[in-house]
Amino acid sequence: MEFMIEAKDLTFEYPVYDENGNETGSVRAVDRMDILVQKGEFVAVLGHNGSGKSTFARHINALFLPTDGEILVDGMDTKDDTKVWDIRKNAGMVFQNPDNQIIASVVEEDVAFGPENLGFAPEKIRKNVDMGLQSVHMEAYREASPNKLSGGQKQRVAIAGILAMEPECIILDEPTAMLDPSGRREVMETIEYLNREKKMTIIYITHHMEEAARADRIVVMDHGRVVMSGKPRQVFTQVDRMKELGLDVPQATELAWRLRGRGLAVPQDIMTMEEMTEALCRLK
Amino acid sequence: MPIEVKDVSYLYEPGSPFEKTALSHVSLTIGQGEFIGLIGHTGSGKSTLIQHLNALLAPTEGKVLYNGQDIFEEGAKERRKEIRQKVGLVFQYPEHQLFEMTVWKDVAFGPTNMKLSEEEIKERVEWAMDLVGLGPEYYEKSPFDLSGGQKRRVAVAGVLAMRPEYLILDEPAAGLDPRGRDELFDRIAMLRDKTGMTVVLVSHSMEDVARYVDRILVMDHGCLKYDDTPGEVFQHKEELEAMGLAVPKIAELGVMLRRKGFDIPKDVIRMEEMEETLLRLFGKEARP
Repeated sequence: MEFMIEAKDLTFEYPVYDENGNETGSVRAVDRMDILVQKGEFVAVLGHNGSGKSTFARHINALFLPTDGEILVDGMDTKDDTKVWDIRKNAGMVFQNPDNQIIASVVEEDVAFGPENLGFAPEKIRKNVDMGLQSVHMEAYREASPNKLSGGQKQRVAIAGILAMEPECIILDEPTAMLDPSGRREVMETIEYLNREKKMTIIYITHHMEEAARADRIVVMDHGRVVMSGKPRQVFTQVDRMKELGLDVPQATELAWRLRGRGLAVPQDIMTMEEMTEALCRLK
Repeated sequence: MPIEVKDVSYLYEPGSPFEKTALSHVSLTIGQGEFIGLIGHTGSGKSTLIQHLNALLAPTEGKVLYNGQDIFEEGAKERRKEIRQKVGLVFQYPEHQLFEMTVWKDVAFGPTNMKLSEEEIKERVEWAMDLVGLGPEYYEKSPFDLSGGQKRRVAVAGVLAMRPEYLILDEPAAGLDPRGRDELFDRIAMLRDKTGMTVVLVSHSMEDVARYVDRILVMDHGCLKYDDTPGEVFQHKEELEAMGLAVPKIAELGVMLRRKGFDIPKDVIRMEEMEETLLRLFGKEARP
Protein backbone atom coordinates (compact mmCIF):
# COMPACT_ATOMS: atom_id res chain seq x y z
CA MET A 1 0.00 0.00 0.00
CA GLU A 2 1.29 3.42 -0.89
CA PHE A 3 1.03 6.22 1.60
CA MET A 4 0.78 9.92 0.83
CA ILE A 5 1.40 10.93 4.41
CA GLU A 6 3.17 9.00 7.16
CA ALA A 7 3.58 10.82 10.44
CA LYS A 8 5.25 9.12 13.37
CA ASP A 9 5.51 10.69 16.82
CA LEU A 10 4.99 14.03 15.11
CA THR A 11 5.50 16.76 17.68
CA PHE A 12 5.52 20.51 17.35
CA GLU A 13 6.33 22.89 20.16
CA TYR A 14 6.62 26.62 20.10
CA PRO A 15 7.95 28.91 22.79
CA VAL A 16 5.78 31.39 24.70
CA TYR A 17 7.16 34.81 25.65
CA ASP A 18 6.08 37.33 28.26
CA GLU A 19 5.67 41.06 27.60
CA ASN A 20 9.39 41.65 27.91
CA GLY A 21 10.30 39.01 25.40
CA ASN A 22 11.55 36.43 27.89
CA GLU A 23 10.74 32.84 27.14
CA THR A 24 8.33 31.59 29.79
CA GLY A 25 7.49 28.15 28.53
CA SER A 26 6.29 26.28 25.50
CA VAL A 27 3.10 25.01 23.96
CA ARG A 28 2.82 21.60 22.38
CA ALA A 29 0.42 22.11 19.47
CA VAL A 30 0.96 18.63 18.07
CA ASP A 31 1.84 15.91 20.52
CA ARG A 32 3.36 12.62 19.32
CA MET A 33 0.81 12.28 16.58
CA ASP A 34 0.71 9.17 14.40
CA ILE A 35 -1.22 9.12 11.17
CA LEU A 36 -1.13 7.31 7.86
CA VAL A 37 -2.97 8.61 4.83
CA GLN A 38 -3.24 6.46 1.73
CA LYS A 39 -2.79 7.83 -1.74
CA GLY A 40 -6.13 8.86 -3.15
CA GLU A 41 -7.84 8.99 0.25
CA PHE A 42 -10.22 11.81 1.20
CA VAL A 43 -9.67 12.53 4.87
CA ALA A 44 -11.66 15.10 6.85
CA VAL A 45 -9.92 16.44 9.95
CA LEU A 46 -12.14 17.64 12.80
CA GLY A 47 -11.29 19.13 16.16
CA HIS A 48 -12.07 22.22 18.23
CA ASN A 49 -10.06 25.40 17.77
CA GLY A 50 -6.62 24.83 19.23
CA SER A 51 -6.73 21.05 18.84
CA GLY A 52 -3.74 21.09 16.48
CA LYS A 53 -5.45 20.58 13.11
CA SER A 54 -3.92 23.56 11.35
CA THR A 55 -0.50 22.97 12.87
CA PHE A 56 -0.62 19.40 11.58
CA ALA A 57 -1.75 20.61 8.15
CA ARG A 58 1.17 23.02 7.93
CA HIS A 59 3.56 20.12 8.43
CA ILE A 60 2.29 18.38 5.32
CA ASN A 61 3.84 20.94 3.02
CA ALA A 62 6.80 21.77 5.22
CA LEU A 63 5.59 25.19 6.31
CA PHE A 64 6.32 23.90 9.81
CA LEU A 65 9.02 21.37 10.61
CA PRO A 66 8.55 18.91 13.45
CA THR A 67 10.40 19.66 16.68
CA ASP A 68 10.32 15.91 17.29
CA GLY A 69 9.25 12.84 15.37
CA GLU A 70 8.88 12.88 11.61
CA ILE A 71 6.49 13.24 8.74
CA LEU A 72 7.00 11.76 5.30
CA VAL A 73 5.08 13.18 2.36
CA ASP A 74 5.03 10.86 -0.62
CA GLY A 75 8.00 9.16 0.98
CA MET A 76 10.00 12.39 1.41
CA ASP A 77 11.06 13.58 4.84
CA THR A 78 10.05 17.23 5.33
CA LYS A 79 13.24 17.81 7.30
CA ASP A 80 15.33 17.07 4.22
CA ASP A 81 16.27 20.54 2.85
CA THR A 82 16.77 19.23 -0.66
CA LYS A 83 13.20 17.93 -0.82
CA VAL A 84 11.29 20.99 0.41
CA TRP A 85 10.34 22.25 -3.04
CA ASP A 86 9.32 18.81 -4.25
CA ILE A 87 7.13 18.46 -1.18
CA ARG A 88 5.51 21.87 -1.65
CA LYS A 89 4.87 21.17 -5.30
CA ASN A 90 3.31 17.86 -4.38
CA ALA A 91 1.13 19.06 -1.52
CA GLY A 92 -0.70 22.33 -2.18
CA MET A 93 -2.60 24.23 0.44
CA VAL A 94 -5.85 26.24 0.37
CA PHE A 95 -6.65 28.52 3.29
CA GLN A 96 -9.78 29.96 4.84
CA ASN A 97 -9.88 33.48 3.47
CA PRO A 98 -10.00 33.59 -0.33
CA ASP A 99 -9.03 37.26 -0.38
CA ASN A 100 -5.67 36.56 1.24
CA GLN A 101 -4.65 34.04 -1.40
CA ILE A 102 -5.20 35.85 -4.64
CA ILE A 103 -2.29 37.93 -5.83
CA ALA A 104 -2.77 38.71 -9.51
CA SER A 105 -5.28 41.06 -11.15
CA VAL A 106 -6.41 38.54 -13.76
CA VAL A 107 -7.66 35.05 -12.95
CA GLU A 108 -5.39 33.13 -15.31
CA GLU A 109 -2.32 35.04 -14.16
CA ASP A 110 -3.17 34.11 -10.61
CA VAL A 111 -3.44 30.45 -11.56
CA ALA A 112 -0.12 30.69 -13.44
CA PHE A 113 1.75 32.03 -10.42
CA GLY A 114 2.57 28.61 -8.94
CA PRO A 115 3.75 26.86 -12.10
CA GLU A 116 5.77 29.95 -13.10
CA ASN A 117 7.59 29.82 -9.80
CA LEU A 118 8.31 26.16 -10.28
CA GLY A 119 10.05 27.09 -13.54
CA PHE A 120 7.73 25.13 -15.83
CA ALA A 121 8.12 25.79 -19.57
CA PRO A 122 5.69 28.39 -21.00
CA GLU A 123 3.71 25.79 -23.00
CA LYS A 124 3.37 23.65 -19.94
CA ILE A 125 2.22 26.61 -17.87
CA ARG A 126 -0.41 27.42 -20.49
CA LYS A 127 -1.59 23.83 -20.53
CA ASN A 128 -1.68 23.53 -16.75
CA VAL A 129 -3.55 26.80 -16.29
CA ASP A 130 -6.19 25.61 -18.75
CA MET A 131 -6.41 22.25 -17.05
CA GLY A 132 -6.62 23.85 -13.59
CA LEU A 133 -9.39 26.23 -14.56
CA GLN A 134 -11.30 23.47 -16.35
CA SER A 135 -11.12 21.19 -13.35
CA VAL A 136 -12.81 23.80 -11.16
CA HIS A 137 -15.20 24.90 -13.94
CA MET A 138 -13.86 28.43 -14.05
CA GLU A 139 -12.54 28.53 -17.62
CA ALA A 140 -15.14 31.14 -18.58
CA TYR A 141 -13.56 33.52 -16.07
CA ARG A 142 -9.96 33.21 -17.22
CA GLU A 143 -9.70 36.87 -18.10
CA ALA A 144 -11.86 38.17 -15.28
CA SER A 145 -10.61 40.23 -12.39
CA PRO A 146 -10.57 38.10 -9.22
CA ASN A 147 -12.11 40.86 -7.13
CA LYS A 148 -15.31 40.58 -9.18
CA LEU A 149 -15.76 36.94 -8.23
CA SER A 150 -17.89 35.47 -5.46
CA GLY A 151 -16.23 33.80 -2.49
CA GLY A 152 -16.84 30.30 -3.87
CA GLN A 153 -15.38 31.29 -7.23
CA LYS A 154 -12.30 32.78 -5.57
CA GLN A 155 -11.72 29.57 -3.64
CA ARG A 156 -12.04 27.59 -6.87
CA VAL A 157 -9.44 29.86 -8.49
CA ALA A 158 -7.16 29.23 -5.51
CA ILE A 159 -7.66 25.49 -6.02
CA ALA A 160 -6.96 25.85 -9.77
CA GLY A 161 -3.67 27.57 -8.91
CA ILE A 162 -2.68 24.56 -6.89
CA LEU A 163 -3.79 22.07 -9.52
CA ALA A 164 -1.61 23.88 -12.07
CA MET A 165 1.42 22.79 -10.03
CA GLU A 166 0.40 19.14 -10.57
CA PRO A 167 0.25 18.10 -6.93
CA GLU A 168 -0.90 14.70 -5.77
CA CYS A 169 -2.34 16.03 -2.55
CA ILE A 170 -4.39 19.09 -1.61
CA ILE A 171 -4.75 20.30 1.95
CA LEU A 172 -7.70 22.59 2.63
CA ASP A 173 -7.90 24.45 5.93
CA GLU A 174 -11.54 25.47 6.47
CA PRO A 175 -11.98 26.54 2.86
CA THR A 176 -15.72 27.15 3.24
CA ALA A 177 -15.77 29.04 6.55
CA MET A 178 -16.40 32.37 4.86
CA LEU A 179 -18.63 31.21 2.03
CA ASP A 180 -22.36 31.34 1.45
CA PRO A 181 -24.29 28.07 0.93
CA SER A 182 -23.79 28.01 -2.84
CA GLY A 183 -20.07 28.77 -2.44
CA ARG A 184 -19.84 25.87 -0.01
CA ARG A 185 -21.60 23.56 -2.46
CA GLU A 186 -19.25 24.62 -5.28
CA VAL A 187 -16.12 23.95 -3.25
CA MET A 188 -17.37 20.58 -1.97
CA GLU A 189 -18.33 19.42 -5.45
CA THR A 190 -14.92 20.49 -6.78
CA ILE A 191 -13.14 18.57 -4.04
CA GLU A 192 -15.19 15.42 -4.60
CA TYR A 193 -14.51 15.62 -8.32
CA LEU A 194 -10.75 15.96 -7.78
CA ASN A 195 -10.74 13.04 -5.41
CA ARG A 196 -12.91 10.69 -7.50
CA GLU A 197 -11.91 11.60 -11.02
CA LYS A 198 -8.33 12.76 -10.59
CA LYS A 199 -7.54 10.39 -7.71
CA MET A 200 -6.07 13.18 -5.64
CA THR A 201 -5.41 12.81 -1.95
CA ILE A 202 -7.49 15.32 0.02
CA ILE A 203 -6.91 16.54 3.57
CA TYR A 204 -9.94 18.61 4.47
CA ILE A 205 -10.13 20.56 7.72
CA THR A 206 -13.62 21.75 8.59
CA HIS A 207 -16.12 22.61 11.29
CA HIS A 208 -19.03 21.63 9.03
CA MET A 209 -20.08 18.11 9.93
CA GLU A 210 -22.22 17.72 6.80
CA GLU A 211 -19.07 18.28 4.72
CA ALA A 212 -17.02 15.86 6.77
CA ALA A 213 -19.70 13.20 6.28
CA ARG A 214 -18.74 13.09 2.60
CA ALA A 215 -15.11 12.07 3.22
CA ASP A 216 -13.76 8.48 3.08
CA ARG A 217 -12.48 8.82 6.62
CA ILE A 218 -12.75 11.23 9.52
CA VAL A 219 -9.86 11.93 11.83
CA VAL A 220 -10.69 13.75 15.05
CA MET A 221 -7.93 15.65 16.85
CA ASP A 222 -7.79 16.77 20.45
CA HIS A 223 -4.80 18.16 22.35
CA GLY A 224 -2.53 17.65 19.38
CA ARG A 225 -3.34 13.98 18.92
CA VAL A 226 -5.61 11.76 16.88
CA VAL A 227 -8.36 10.61 19.24
CA MET A 228 -10.78 9.08 16.76
CA SER A 229 -10.39 7.76 13.25
CA GLY A 230 -12.82 5.88 11.07
CA LYS A 231 -15.49 6.01 8.44
CA PRO A 232 -17.86 8.98 8.92
CA ARG A 233 -20.64 6.63 9.96
CA GLN A 234 -18.50 5.02 12.67
CA VAL A 235 -17.28 8.34 14.02
CA PHE A 236 -20.60 10.18 13.96
CA THR A 237 -22.43 7.32 15.65
CA GLN A 238 -20.52 8.25 18.80
CA VAL A 239 -22.59 11.35 19.43
CA ASP A 240 -21.76 11.71 23.13
CA ARG A 241 -18.05 11.43 22.47
CA MET A 242 -18.20 14.03 19.72
CA LYS A 243 -20.07 16.46 21.96
CA GLU A 244 -17.55 15.90 24.73
CA LEU A 245 -14.85 16.90 22.27
CA GLY A 246 -16.69 20.16 21.55
CA LEU A 247 -17.86 18.97 18.16
CA ASP A 248 -21.13 18.27 16.41
CA VAL A 249 -22.56 15.52 14.27
CA PRO A 250 -24.61 16.01 11.09
CA GLN A 251 -28.11 17.30 11.77
CA ALA A 252 -29.69 14.00 10.68
CA THR A 253 -27.45 12.05 13.08
CA GLU A 254 -28.28 14.44 15.90
CA LEU A 255 -32.00 14.03 15.27
CA ALA A 256 -31.63 10.23 15.22
CA TRP A 257 -29.76 10.38 18.53
CA ARG A 258 -32.46 12.52 20.10
CA LEU A 259 -35.31 10.33 18.80
CA ARG A 260 -33.60 7.15 19.99
CA GLY A 261 -33.07 8.73 23.38
CA ARG A 262 -36.84 9.14 23.63
CA GLY A 263 -37.70 5.64 22.53
CA LEU A 264 -38.20 5.95 18.77
CA ALA A 265 -36.29 3.10 17.12
CA VAL A 266 -34.53 4.79 14.21
CA PRO A 267 -31.01 3.55 13.41
CA GLN A 268 -28.21 5.60 15.00
CA ASP A 269 -25.98 5.55 11.93
CA ILE A 270 -28.16 7.87 9.88
CA MET A 271 -26.16 10.69 8.27
CA THR A 272 -28.50 12.34 5.79
CA MET A 273 -32.09 13.54 5.79
CA GLU A 274 -32.83 11.09 2.94
CA GLU A 275 -31.84 8.22 5.22
CA MET A 276 -33.92 9.69 8.03
CA THR A 277 -36.94 9.88 5.72
CA GLU A 278 -36.51 6.23 4.74
CA ALA A 279 -36.12 5.13 8.34
CA LEU A 280 -39.26 6.97 9.40
CA CYS A 281 -41.21 5.52 6.47
CA ARG A 282 -40.22 2.04 7.59
CA LEU A 283 -41.49 2.72 11.10
CA LYS A 284 -44.81 4.09 9.93
CA MET B 1 -36.85 53.57 18.81
CA PRO B 2 -37.25 52.10 15.35
CA ILE B 3 -34.89 52.44 12.43
CA GLU B 4 -36.73 52.90 9.17
CA VAL B 5 -35.08 52.31 5.83
CA LYS B 6 -37.18 54.04 3.18
CA ASP B 7 -36.73 53.21 -0.47
CA VAL B 8 -32.96 53.19 -0.13
CA SER B 9 -30.69 52.64 -3.12
CA TYR B 10 -26.94 52.71 -3.01
CA LEU B 11 -24.50 52.88 -5.90
CA TYR B 12 -20.79 52.28 -5.54
CA GLU B 13 -18.73 54.74 -7.60
CA PRO B 14 -21.72 56.33 -9.35
CA GLY B 15 -21.01 57.85 -12.75
CA SER B 16 -17.77 55.90 -13.17
CA PRO B 17 -17.25 52.83 -15.39
CA PHE B 18 -17.22 50.81 -12.16
CA GLU B 19 -20.68 51.90 -11.08
CA LYS B 20 -22.43 49.09 -9.26
CA THR B 21 -25.86 48.98 -7.68
CA ALA B 22 -25.42 47.52 -4.22
CA LEU B 23 -28.90 48.30 -2.93
CA SER B 24 -32.01 48.81 -4.97
CA HIS B 25 -35.12 50.39 -3.40
CA VAL B 26 -34.91 48.65 -0.06
CA SER B 27 -37.58 49.48 2.53
CA LEU B 28 -37.88 47.97 5.98
CA THR B 29 -38.42 48.86 9.62
CA ILE B 30 -36.46 47.44 12.50
CA GLY B 31 -38.31 47.72 15.78
CA GLN B 32 -37.07 47.58 19.33
CA GLY B 33 -36.29 44.17 20.77
CA GLU B 34 -36.46 42.21 17.54
CA PHE B 35 -34.10 39.33 16.75
CA ILE B 36 -33.55 39.48 13.02
CA GLY B 37 -31.53 37.30 10.65
CA LEU B 38 -30.12 38.82 7.49
CA ILE B 39 -29.16 36.32 4.79
CA GLY B 40 -28.08 36.59 1.17
CA HIS B 41 -25.36 35.39 -1.20
CA THR B 42 -21.93 37.03 -1.28
CA GLY B 43 -22.38 40.43 -2.88
CA SER B 44 -26.14 40.54 -2.28
CA GLY B 45 -25.92 43.85 -0.41
CA LYS B 46 -26.07 42.65 3.22
CA SER B 47 -22.98 44.53 4.34
CA THR B 48 -23.95 47.65 2.44
CA LEU B 49 -27.35 47.54 4.12
CA ILE B 50 -26.02 47.21 7.66
CA GLN B 51 -23.59 50.06 7.09
CA HIS B 52 -26.60 52.26 6.37
CA LEU B 53 -28.12 51.32 9.70
CA ASN B 54 -25.39 53.06 11.65
CA ALA B 55 -24.68 55.89 9.24
CA LEU B 56 -21.38 54.57 7.90
CA LEU B 57 -22.81 54.86 4.40
CA ALA B 58 -25.27 57.48 3.18
CA PRO B 59 -27.91 56.30 0.70
CA THR B 60 -27.57 57.43 -2.92
CA GLU B 61 -31.38 57.61 -2.94
CA GLY B 62 -33.98 57.27 -0.21
CA LYS B 63 -33.81 57.88 3.52
CA VAL B 64 -32.82 56.27 6.76
CA LEU B 65 -34.90 57.43 9.72
CA TYR B 66 -33.99 56.97 13.35
CA ASN B 67 -36.82 57.73 15.72
CA GLY B 68 -38.66 59.33 12.80
CA GLN B 69 -35.85 61.72 11.91
CA ASP B 70 -33.73 61.60 8.78
CA ILE B 71 -30.16 60.88 9.85
CA PHE B 72 -28.62 62.07 6.62
CA GLU B 73 -30.29 65.41 6.23
CA GLU B 74 -28.21 68.55 6.14
CA GLY B 75 -26.93 69.58 9.57
CA ALA B 76 -27.74 66.23 11.21
CA LYS B 77 -24.14 65.47 12.13
CA GLU B 78 -24.99 65.12 15.82
CA ARG B 79 -27.77 62.70 14.98
CA ARG B 80 -25.31 60.56 13.02
CA LYS B 81 -22.91 60.59 15.90
CA GLU B 82 -25.69 59.50 18.20
CA ILE B 83 -26.81 56.68 15.95
CA ARG B 84 -23.28 55.31 15.72
CA GLN B 85 -23.40 54.84 19.47
CA LYS B 86 -26.93 53.46 19.45
CA VAL B 87 -26.22 50.97 16.70
CA GLY B 88 -23.26 48.77 17.55
CA LEU B 89 -21.73 47.03 14.58
CA VAL B 90 -19.56 43.95 15.08
CA PHE B 91 -17.68 43.32 11.86
CA GLN B 92 -16.48 39.98 10.54
CA TYR B 93 -13.45 38.69 12.40
CA PRO B 94 -13.73 41.45 15.00
CA GLU B 95 -10.82 39.96 16.93
CA HIS B 96 -8.54 41.40 14.25
CA GLN B 97 -9.44 44.79 15.66
CA LEU B 98 -8.30 44.07 19.18
CA PHE B 99 -5.20 46.09 19.88
CA GLU B 100 -4.82 47.00 23.55
CA MET B 101 -2.43 45.42 26.03
CA THR B 102 -5.22 44.14 28.24
CA VAL B 103 -8.75 42.94 27.74
CA TRP B 104 -9.97 45.65 30.11
CA LYS B 105 -8.42 48.46 28.10
CA ASP B 106 -9.75 47.08 24.88
CA VAL B 107 -13.33 46.89 26.12
CA ALA B 108 -12.98 50.34 27.71
CA PHE B 109 -11.83 51.94 24.46
CA GLY B 110 -15.32 52.91 23.22
CA PRO B 111 -16.65 54.31 26.51
CA THR B 112 -13.35 56.16 27.05
CA ASN B 113 -13.78 57.85 23.68
CA MET B 114 -17.30 58.78 24.68
CA LYS B 115 -15.63 60.83 27.43
CA LEU B 116 -17.57 59.11 30.21
CA SER B 117 -16.53 59.31 33.84
CA GLU B 118 -14.07 56.73 35.20
CA GLU B 119 -16.84 55.27 37.29
CA GLU B 120 -19.24 54.93 34.38
CA ILE B 121 -16.52 53.33 32.23
CA LYS B 122 -15.78 50.82 34.96
CA GLU B 123 -19.41 49.94 35.38
CA ARG B 124 -19.91 49.50 31.63
CA VAL B 125 -16.84 47.36 31.10
CA GLU B 126 -17.83 45.06 33.95
CA TRP B 127 -21.38 44.86 32.64
CA ALA B 128 -20.26 44.10 29.07
CA MET B 129 -17.72 41.49 30.16
CA ASP B 130 -20.33 39.83 32.31
CA LEU B 131 -22.79 39.71 29.40
CA VAL B 132 -20.32 37.90 27.17
CA GLY B 133 -19.44 35.54 30.01
CA LEU B 134 -15.86 36.57 30.75
CA GLY B 135 -15.15 37.03 34.47
CA PRO B 136 -12.70 39.37 36.27
CA GLU B 137 -9.90 36.82 35.80
CA TYR B 138 -9.79 37.96 32.16
CA TYR B 139 -9.55 41.71 32.80
CA GLU B 140 -5.78 41.94 32.92
CA LYS B 141 -5.01 39.29 30.33
CA SER B 142 -3.62 40.18 26.95
CA PRO B 143 -6.38 39.71 24.35
CA PHE B 144 -3.84 37.89 22.22
CA ASP B 145 -3.47 35.08 24.75
CA LEU B 146 -7.13 34.11 24.48
CA SER B 147 -8.76 31.45 22.31
CA GLY B 148 -10.51 32.42 19.09
CA GLY B 149 -13.96 32.28 20.66
CA GLN B 150 -12.87 34.30 23.70
CA LYS B 151 -11.23 36.97 21.55
CA ARG B 152 -14.42 37.31 19.63
CA ARG B 153 -16.40 37.71 22.84
CA VAL B 154 -14.01 40.45 23.95
CA ALA B 155 -14.62 42.24 20.65
CA VAL B 156 -18.38 41.96 21.15
CA ALA B 157 -17.98 43.27 24.72
CA GLY B 158 -16.16 46.29 23.32
CA VAL B 159 -19.23 47.16 21.27
CA LEU B 160 -21.65 46.35 24.10
CA ALA B 161 -19.76 48.72 26.41
CA MET B 162 -21.09 51.54 24.25
CA ARG B 163 -24.58 50.45 25.47
CA PRO B 164 -26.11 50.23 22.01
CA GLU B 165 -29.83 49.77 21.48
CA TYR B 166 -29.08 47.78 18.38
CA LEU B 167 -26.44 45.13 17.97
CA ILE B 168 -25.55 44.10 14.43
CA LEU B 169 -23.27 41.10 14.04
CA ASP B 170 -21.74 40.26 10.67
CA GLU B 171 -20.98 36.51 10.54
CA PRO B 172 -20.13 36.31 14.23
CA ALA B 173 -19.49 32.56 14.18
CA ALA B 174 -17.28 32.27 11.06
CA GLY B 175 -14.25 30.14 11.89
CA LEU B 176 -15.44 29.20 15.38
CA ASP B 177 -15.74 25.53 16.28
CA PRO B 178 -19.19 24.15 17.15
CA ARG B 179 -18.79 24.73 20.89
CA GLY B 180 -17.46 28.26 20.39
CA ARG B 181 -20.33 28.98 18.06
CA ASP B 182 -22.99 27.67 20.47
CA GLU B 183 -21.49 29.59 23.38
CA LEU B 184 -21.40 32.83 21.42
CA PHE B 185 -24.97 32.51 20.15
CA ASP B 186 -26.34 31.43 23.52
CA ARG B 187 -24.69 34.49 25.05
CA ILE B 188 -26.18 36.76 22.42
CA ALA B 189 -29.64 35.27 22.89
CA MET B 190 -29.27 35.68 26.64
CA LEU B 191 -28.11 39.28 26.51
CA ARG B 192 -31.00 40.08 24.22
CA ASP B 193 -33.45 38.60 26.73
CA LYS B 194 -31.78 40.47 29.56
CA THR B 195 -31.44 43.88 27.92
CA GLY B 196 -34.19 43.97 25.30
CA MET B 197 -31.55 44.93 22.78
CA THR B 198 -32.42 44.54 19.11
CA VAL B 199 -30.12 42.04 17.43
CA VAL B 200 -29.47 41.72 13.71
CA LEU B 201 -27.53 38.61 12.79
CA VAL B 202 -25.89 38.39 9.38
CA SER B 203 -25.08 34.77 8.62
CA HIS B 204 -24.39 32.20 5.95
CA SER B 205 -25.54 29.43 8.25
CA MET B 206 -29.22 28.72 7.73
CA GLU B 207 -29.16 26.45 10.79
CA ASP B 208 -27.98 29.27 13.07
CA VAL B 209 -30.52 31.68 11.64
CA ALA B 210 -33.38 29.19 11.97
CA ARG B 211 -32.40 28.43 15.53
CA TYR B 212 -32.28 31.94 16.93
CA VAL B 213 -34.18 34.62 15.04
CA ASP B 214 -37.86 35.62 14.87
CA ARG B 215 -37.70 37.37 11.52
CA ILE B 216 -35.56 36.89 8.41
CA LEU B 217 -34.57 39.41 5.76
CA VAL B 218 -33.37 37.87 2.50
CA MET B 219 -31.24 39.99 0.18
CA ASP B 220 -30.64 39.07 -3.46
CA HIS B 221 -28.70 41.26 -5.88
CA GLY B 222 -29.37 44.39 -3.86
CA CYS B 223 -33.11 43.78 -3.46
CA LEU B 224 -35.00 42.71 -0.36
CA LYS B 225 -36.66 39.48 -1.51
CA TYR B 226 -38.32 38.27 1.66
CA ASP B 227 -39.09 39.83 5.02
CA ASP B 228 -40.94 37.27 7.09
CA THR B 229 -40.82 34.67 9.86
CA PRO B 230 -38.31 31.82 9.47
CA GLY B 231 -41.19 29.37 8.99
CA GLU B 232 -42.48 31.33 6.01
CA VAL B 233 -39.12 32.22 4.47
CA PHE B 234 -37.85 28.64 4.52
CA GLN B 235 -40.93 27.47 2.58
CA HIS B 236 -39.23 28.92 -0.49
CA LYS B 237 -36.64 26.18 -0.96
CA GLU B 238 -36.30 26.44 -4.76
CA GLU B 239 -36.20 30.23 -4.75
CA LEU B 240 -33.60 30.34 -1.97
CA GLU B 241 -31.42 27.79 -3.72
CA ALA B 242 -31.60 29.77 -6.94
CA MET B 243 -30.33 32.76 -4.93
CA GLY B 244 -27.31 30.78 -3.75
CA LEU B 245 -28.84 30.08 -0.35
CA ALA B 246 -30.33 26.99 1.22
CA VAL B 247 -32.90 25.91 3.77
CA PRO B 248 -31.93 24.36 7.11
CA LYS B 249 -31.52 20.57 7.03
CA ILE B 250 -34.51 20.16 9.32
CA ALA B 251 -36.69 22.13 6.90
CA GLU B 252 -35.43 19.87 4.10
CA LEU B 253 -36.48 16.85 6.10
CA GLY B 254 -39.91 18.43 6.60
CA VAL B 255 -40.34 18.76 2.83
CA MET B 256 -39.33 15.13 2.23
CA LEU B 257 -41.57 13.79 4.97
CA ARG B 258 -44.58 15.76 3.76
CA ARG B 259 -44.07 14.25 0.31
CA LYS B 260 -44.29 10.82 1.95
CA GLY B 261 -47.55 11.79 3.57
CA PHE B 262 -46.33 12.68 7.05
CA ASP B 263 -48.24 15.44 8.79
CA ILE B 264 -45.38 17.83 9.55
CA PRO B 265 -46.42 21.49 9.82
CA LYS B 266 -44.51 23.77 7.47
CA ASP B 267 -43.15 25.96 10.22
CA VAL B 268 -41.19 23.11 11.82
CA ILE B 269 -37.63 24.16 10.99
CA ARG B 270 -35.76 23.68 14.27
CA MET B 271 -34.24 20.52 15.70
CA GLU B 272 -36.29 20.52 18.93
CA GLU B 273 -39.56 21.19 17.10
CA MET B 274 -38.92 18.34 14.68
CA GLU B 275 -38.05 16.03 17.56
CA GLU B 276 -41.30 16.81 19.38
CA THR B 277 -43.41 16.65 16.21
CA LEU B 278 -42.06 13.23 15.23
CA LEU B 279 -42.47 11.84 18.72
CA ARG B 280 -46.08 12.99 18.75
CA LEU B 281 -46.72 11.46 15.32
CA PHE B 282 -45.32 8.15 16.48
CA GLY B 283 -47.31 8.29 19.69
CA LYS B 284 -44.33 8.67 21.99
CA GLU B 285 -44.82 10.60 25.13
CA ALA B 286 -44.01 14.29 24.99
CA ARG B 287 -41.44 15.68 27.37
CA PRO B 288 -43.04 16.47 30.75
